[in-house]
Amino acid sequence: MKTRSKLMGGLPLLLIVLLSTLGVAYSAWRDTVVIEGTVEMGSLTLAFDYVEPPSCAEYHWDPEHTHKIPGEYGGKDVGSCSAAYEEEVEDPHTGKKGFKRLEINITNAYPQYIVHTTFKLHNIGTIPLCITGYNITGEKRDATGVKIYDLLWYDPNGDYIGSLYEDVNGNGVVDDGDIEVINLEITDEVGWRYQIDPCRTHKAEIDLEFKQEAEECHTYIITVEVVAVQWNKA
Amino acid sequence: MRSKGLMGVFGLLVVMLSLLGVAYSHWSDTVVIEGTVKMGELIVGILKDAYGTGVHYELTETTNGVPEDQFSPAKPWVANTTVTLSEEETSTHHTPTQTVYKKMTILIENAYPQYDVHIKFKLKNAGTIPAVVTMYTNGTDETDTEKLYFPPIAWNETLCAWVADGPVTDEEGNEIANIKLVAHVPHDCQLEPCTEYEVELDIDFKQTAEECHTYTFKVTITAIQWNKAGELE
Repeated sequence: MKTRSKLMGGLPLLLIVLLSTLGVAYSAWRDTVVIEGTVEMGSLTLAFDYVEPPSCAEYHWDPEHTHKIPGEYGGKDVGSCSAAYEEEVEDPHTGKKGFKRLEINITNAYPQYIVHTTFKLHNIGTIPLCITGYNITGEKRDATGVKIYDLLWYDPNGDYIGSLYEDVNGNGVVDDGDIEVINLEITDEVGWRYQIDPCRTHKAEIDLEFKQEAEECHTYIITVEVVAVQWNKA
Repeated sequence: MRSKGLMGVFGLLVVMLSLLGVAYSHWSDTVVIEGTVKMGELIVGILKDAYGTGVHYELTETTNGVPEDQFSPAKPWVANTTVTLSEEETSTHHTPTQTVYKKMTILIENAYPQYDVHIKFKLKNAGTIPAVVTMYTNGTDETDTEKLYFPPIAWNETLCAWVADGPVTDEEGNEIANIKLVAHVPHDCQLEPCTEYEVELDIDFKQTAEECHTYTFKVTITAIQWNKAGELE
């Protein structure tokens, strides 16, 4: 018993010695330098303007086919057109709103009927963007809604002044046998390639003119996708 | 008779005490060891005025590798990087005194892919004791609460520097940015007193970095007195 109690008395002393040794091993002069970084990423959002709605106007050619005259030929009200923005979008960074889709509805169209639509693009993000082009696709449907042909965009100059052809042979390329049905022209004052800085808007126009070969009682669905990239990658 | 005897005793005591006094007092001498210890100090930080008075670091912002003001069209206002130095510490052991900052805060706002940030600064051992440094980097995607992974740091023989070069990725493997940290410190990572070492930090944001996200990162440089560095590893 005496031996055990002596041993128990020695243990705390040993622990103290051990801990003090460890204490020496851990303690050292030290200093710290810290580099703290915070990166807040911007946003790139192109939308149709939330405030100003699109507008649609009808035109027809003068007898000499030199310039377009507002309204329909002979003052009649035959065809009709309307344009509206859809699919509301909000930039999560700026909280600004806009629309992702412009829908143009043309009813009772006929050859040489011209529809002129004005729309406004708005950069609602925080990064400048560049409009680098348009993807133009479409399809022709019959009165029952069944697709008959794809529509192919033909623009040999690359200036977005061209025509839509029915892809009659279905090979995906405009060639002999395909039928030109719609003239399409996208214009604005600075050309088709331009930059829009954040908070800025840009007005552009699209003209659709139906050709003699466009078929009666059919529906033509045209999709124009506006392609924008960050300005430093354009 | 009795009073005479008492007087005699007192007299004897006086004589004896005086004798004892002689026994205590003798020639003596003293040797004294006096010590004064002036401790050194360990201060490592980002050097103040490293590139001229009031210029503590160099910051360059580029787009696609081209300085923003020379980019066509120049848009230096799109993204913005600000660097702030804080936690100033001055070593009193040097003449003139050496001041370093313990914290560098980098804030990059409205970043976008191909926006690049280049920061140069000088790491200085402003103390009097050699220090051995280690670096540790971590980060977070604050928006998705995801951990970010950084490239490892390794010795580069060509640059004679410690280099961490590679992509910073999130938990899904998306590349947020390429980061290049070049620390021109010796191979043994020992910073000598009164010596400064340039550090370069380049960040180049990738196309897969996510819009409207906030990423944070932290580079911790720990300096330990050189003679304890091995023990603590």
